[in-house]
Amino acid sequence: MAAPSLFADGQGLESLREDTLIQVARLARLALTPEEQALYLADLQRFLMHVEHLSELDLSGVAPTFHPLALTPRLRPDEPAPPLKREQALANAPHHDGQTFIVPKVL
Amino acid sequence: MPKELCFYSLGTQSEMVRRGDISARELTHAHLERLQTHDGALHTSLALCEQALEIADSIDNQRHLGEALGPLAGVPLAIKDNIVTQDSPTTAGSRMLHGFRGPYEATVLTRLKSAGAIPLFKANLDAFGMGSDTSRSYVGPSFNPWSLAHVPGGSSGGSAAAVAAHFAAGALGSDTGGSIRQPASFCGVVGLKPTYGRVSRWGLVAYASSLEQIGPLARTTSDARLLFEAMAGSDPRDSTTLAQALSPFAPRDSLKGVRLGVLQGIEGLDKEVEQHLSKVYSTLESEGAVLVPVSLPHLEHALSAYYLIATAEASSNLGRYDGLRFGHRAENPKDLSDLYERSRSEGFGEEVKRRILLGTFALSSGYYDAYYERAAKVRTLLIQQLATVFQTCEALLSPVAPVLPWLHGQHHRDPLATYLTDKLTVLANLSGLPALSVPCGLSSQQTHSLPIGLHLMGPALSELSLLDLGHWVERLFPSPACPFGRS
Repeated sequence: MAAPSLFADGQGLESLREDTLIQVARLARLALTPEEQALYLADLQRFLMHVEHLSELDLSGVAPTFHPLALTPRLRPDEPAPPLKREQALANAPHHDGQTFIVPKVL
Repeated sequence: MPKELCFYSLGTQSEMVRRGDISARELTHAHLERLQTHDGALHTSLALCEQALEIADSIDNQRHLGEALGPLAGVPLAIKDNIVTQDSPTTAGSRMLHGFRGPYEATVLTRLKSAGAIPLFKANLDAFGMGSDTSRSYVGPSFNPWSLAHVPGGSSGGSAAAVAAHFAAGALGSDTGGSIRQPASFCGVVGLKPTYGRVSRWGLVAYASSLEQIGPLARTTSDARLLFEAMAGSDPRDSTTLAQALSPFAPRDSLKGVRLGVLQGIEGLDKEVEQHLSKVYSTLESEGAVLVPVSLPHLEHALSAYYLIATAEASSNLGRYDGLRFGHRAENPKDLSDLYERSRSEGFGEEVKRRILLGTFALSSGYYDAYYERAAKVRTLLIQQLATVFQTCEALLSPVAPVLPWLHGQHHRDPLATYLTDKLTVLANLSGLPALSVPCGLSSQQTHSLPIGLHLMGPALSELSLLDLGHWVERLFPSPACPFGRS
């Protein structure tokens, strides 16, 4: 899906389109009613207009931060421990047969 | 004159239990009674922790046998309902997890219990931690004990209100963008967001993994410190926890020469909050503190960056709610797609869906660079700027929120207005730095005498230093006790 150049020149800001929102909802596995579509479209458009000021910043040469503190991953010893018991794993299952989760056909 | 048990500080309550002046059962019972009598008006509690009295009895038994009791012996705590308990449901305030019973206990709770604390009840919150006034809970809002017409803040509004109303000696909250500190400020209690990695997130229902921490809420900084010391520590089940243990901190015997940064240029700051904080700053200066004006050139951009990063991480974390193994499942699904879509659409509330959509958009192909990655670069700039600030200041001061607690329903149709009130607190989450909210007085009678909180942020691992500064603030600006539920 080609992205409209939202940051092209500030003036020519294209607002979030309805078909983009519908696609995003599909990606997020959310079924929106027409009223919800209108509500969220307006909310997201307002939000995106607000964050448009990020496009003013010169961020060339700035590396993104995905973790706040430099974390060196610490590994735990490779020792097996008892897994979750079956009854525990199924305890909150919406539909199960005592052995497995029951779900609609996948293939 | 003997006080009602619930009105003692957490520290005093624990001392009384350890000395045998009262039993843990008496103390637990007193809080449950107070909760039952008064929570109808505040709606802070979602479910009682079923083992509370049993735990209390085992503490009393230990004392009877002459065994040593922990520093939090007998202390009843409210636990934000996005922290997994074994003896009650964990709903995260959402229909999606209605009735969900976690198969394990959050690490923080294991730690607090081994110090003798007693989880008493699960506290109300904005669903999945997404909100700033506890109006976005599936089971309805919580109310501010200082004024029932006003919000207690959020998302840990139930926790903050419960502590202010003396339903618990202290509470646990979680803070992704201010969700401990802002409700603490709105309810006139102390709230601490620890340095990222100080407290295990094992057992915290995830919202935004690189931003959030569990932290304590309490009526005093000493109480908050006791909770924090028991909670903090490395956890093999959360690889983002820090290896460093807490270093002891010697309390300051005066504020003379203490360099405190004061954040400038805050847009949208309520006049009364600004004037009140001015007086606070002057008083600190007259005590000898050196106030240093601090400008953060990207303050406004930080808020935008926060909402892009938080919602992006949320869209990923909330992908696990698929109706298959736990959580809400729609009835009679046509096929797997229908099951996913309807389960999620029925299970999630409006605010949660809004943030998932925003986050999914920010991460999607064609938009990732312009939104999520750009926000992550702003995060880098902010971290660098704050590092510079803390080279010359021991803490950075500001109001916790730019506004006073608002009325119920005031922002319901305008989520962006609510987002903007987080602009001062998100800095600590983006940078991973610790930050404290301490009450520093009440607003005027015309504005309903609502609590105002001072925000103190410090360099990494400086929680005890911040709590010490907070203790000074408490002494300099004693607030009247919350009048709610006092005969």
